[in-house]
Amino acid sequence: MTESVGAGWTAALVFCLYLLGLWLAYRFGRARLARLESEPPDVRRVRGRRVVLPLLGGVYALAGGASILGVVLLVQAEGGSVNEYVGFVFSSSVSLLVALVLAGAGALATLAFTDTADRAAAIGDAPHHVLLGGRRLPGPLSRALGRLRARPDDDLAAQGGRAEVTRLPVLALRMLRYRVATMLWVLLLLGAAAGDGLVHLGWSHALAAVSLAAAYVAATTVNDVADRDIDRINHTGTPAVRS
Amino acid sequence: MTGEASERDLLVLHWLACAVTFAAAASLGAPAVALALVSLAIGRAYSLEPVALSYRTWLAPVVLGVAYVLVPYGLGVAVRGVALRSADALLAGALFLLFLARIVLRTSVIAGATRRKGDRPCSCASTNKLPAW
Repeated sequence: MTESVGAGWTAALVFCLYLLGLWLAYRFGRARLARLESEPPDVRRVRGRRVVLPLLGGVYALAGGASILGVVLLVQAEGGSVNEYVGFVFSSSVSLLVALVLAGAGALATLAFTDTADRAAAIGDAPHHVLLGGRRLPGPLSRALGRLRARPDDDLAAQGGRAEVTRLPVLALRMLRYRVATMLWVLLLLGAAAGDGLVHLGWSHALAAVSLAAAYVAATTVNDVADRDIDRINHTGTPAVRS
Repeated sequence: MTGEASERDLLVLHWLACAVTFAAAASLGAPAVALALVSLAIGRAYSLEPVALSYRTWLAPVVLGVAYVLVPYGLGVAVRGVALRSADALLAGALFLLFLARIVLRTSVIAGATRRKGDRPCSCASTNKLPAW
């Protein structure tokens, strides 16, 4: 498919399908989570995840399949060769990039839904009421208390009076805020693609992405250490610092 | 503050991240190493004395624009292995200005909210976190 108009229609079709998929996931997830309200917190959390994750997976699979079918039909309607088009997509690095973007979008959407489910289960409220505050306790603590982290769990104490431990890789992921990381990687790809376009993705791109991400983690960690006194008052979402 | 990590954890992670940044850039050539060093230097200068860019209202957005826009874009050009073109400078400059506009707007919104809450007006303490896009 060489015509830009055809490509535009295909992109619009795929976008609409994913929009529809997300909307359906939201509707079904909200209705289901509202029914889970009457159950104990642990059961709600487990069942919430069991419902939302497969639901999102199914919706994405359905939307992905429908979009591929739509592309094939569109190519045929324009008199193009389906084999040639599909061959191009799956033999070039573009397919890897598309897969990465779709996986990232799916992961972020899933994260949003599971976070909402967790908070709804912990607070004991329906998802559409979460932002307004729950009707019942327990909700997440606003900040670390004693040696426990602030999060929507029902923990009473850490074993042996020790502080909860976060492994360094997990901490690195927490410090690599995904919105900033996404922006940095997009700008990296823009720089790599400017001019002749991005035909191949190789190890050099991956190493550059790792280098950027690590530099950002280095910046956020030192920032949290430097601002520890201010963060105790102003910011409740930063991981540091436990004394 | 969630209390997930100690100060020592964060410092260990900081130096590990510095090492990873340098090692990954070293495999991409001298321009990438130079960009990585610029990025690391800005990351430290933003938070630490004596520079403490986060407390310099007029300088911080510009320097952050370098770290958030010009460094990633330049790294992409370095990976491409082709000399910098005028079109690159134009696009990177436009993105830089877009970032600058975004971060200044964000800072002014936070300062306004702080003022409405009755805290110190334009408090540095409310805006000195590394911004999320």
